[in-house]
Amino acid sequence: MLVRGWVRFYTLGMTAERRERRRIEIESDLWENHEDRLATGAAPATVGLEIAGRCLRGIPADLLWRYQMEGPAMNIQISIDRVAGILLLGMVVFLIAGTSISGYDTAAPMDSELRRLASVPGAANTVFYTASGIGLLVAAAGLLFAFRERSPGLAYLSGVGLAATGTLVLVSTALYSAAAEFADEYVASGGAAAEQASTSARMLLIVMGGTAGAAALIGFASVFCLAMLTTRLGMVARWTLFLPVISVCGMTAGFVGDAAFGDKWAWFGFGSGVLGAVLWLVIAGAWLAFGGSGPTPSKQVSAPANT
Amino acid sequence: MKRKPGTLLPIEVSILRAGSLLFSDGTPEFHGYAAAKMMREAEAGRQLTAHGTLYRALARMEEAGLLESRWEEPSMESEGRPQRRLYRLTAVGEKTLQAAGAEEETKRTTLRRGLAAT
Repeated sequence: MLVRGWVRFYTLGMTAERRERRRIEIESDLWENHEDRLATGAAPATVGLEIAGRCLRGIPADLLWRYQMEGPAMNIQISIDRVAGILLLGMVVFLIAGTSISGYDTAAPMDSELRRLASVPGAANTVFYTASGIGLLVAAAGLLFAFRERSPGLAYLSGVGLAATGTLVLVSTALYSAAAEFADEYVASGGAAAEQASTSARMLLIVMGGTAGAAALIGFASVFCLAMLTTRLGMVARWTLFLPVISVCGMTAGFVGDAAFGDKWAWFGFGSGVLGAVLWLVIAGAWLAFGGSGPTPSKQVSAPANT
Repeated sequence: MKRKPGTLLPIEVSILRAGSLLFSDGTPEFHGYAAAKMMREAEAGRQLTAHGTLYRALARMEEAGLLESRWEEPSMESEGRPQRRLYRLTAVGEKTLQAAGAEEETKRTTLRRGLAAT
């Protein structure tokens, strides 16, 4: 019963001819196996267990066979361009959220920063940032899979870059979460305990500033690589490339400005950097996902039909 | 994992060998269970090859031209039991088995020489 049920299950949706062939072949095998073992004096219960074992051990092969037997009737067409477009659009949210983890303002007094941090809903932020980090990792894997055959160098560069960004976002989230705990403790306690909590939170926030900054830098550099890749492959119009160029220039100017002129100029640079990358992601993502000419089926998954 | 064209998996060699042994025993065509039983006996195994593994390999080998198959014709002898799918080694299958045997012998000789040298 178990074997027959399993055969009926994994042959569901196949053509009647193939389904019948497999069903009759297994039926014959079961009968031969049963009669042969009974003739050697084996107990019916033992034979039943042996047959069930044969069936269970073969399940992976059955499933592989079923997958390989998919012929034109169940031809799966994966529009990689459309999937890539959706991932790029998703990255708009992930990248903005992931790189917006900023615990504190270096220019403001630590006391007011910790009180501000304690007042924000830490748990909700942590969930949001964690989701962004995971989203970036998923996008990295998806885009690498989508482009690795067509342009391996840039695909690996952008994929690894995005994966690093996602990882750094997750690290920053963990640091943010721990710092928020210390901020709560700082506000709730006083005296030496508050001092200790303040020191710990400050240390965590400094490290987090570094990881979040690195995440932003690598993330936007990865977007630039993606822009180069999609333009080179002719998937997105060449003119859109000016946006990632603005993004990289803006980011660089932001870092230089921060060191040379202070926060005001730095934020101008970072702002234009984020804007350029986000605009490119929106345009390129929409272009690929909802392009007027329709998606290009760039990968066709099908296997020759066995008989 | 993709394998090199022309190379056989161990189970495929076992099936070809079982088919060849059954042929020598006067059974030119064999069904799945007979192959599984012969494979177990020839290799002194404890268990019969799983259904999925066996029939997937048979289908693959038939597609590769190593085996050919047909449904058993109804007869007095086949009455009262499910119809068998009968397999037979093709000329390509026989040649492939010989080549696999020769390759195995070469490996064994090399191994023996290596062991003797140490």
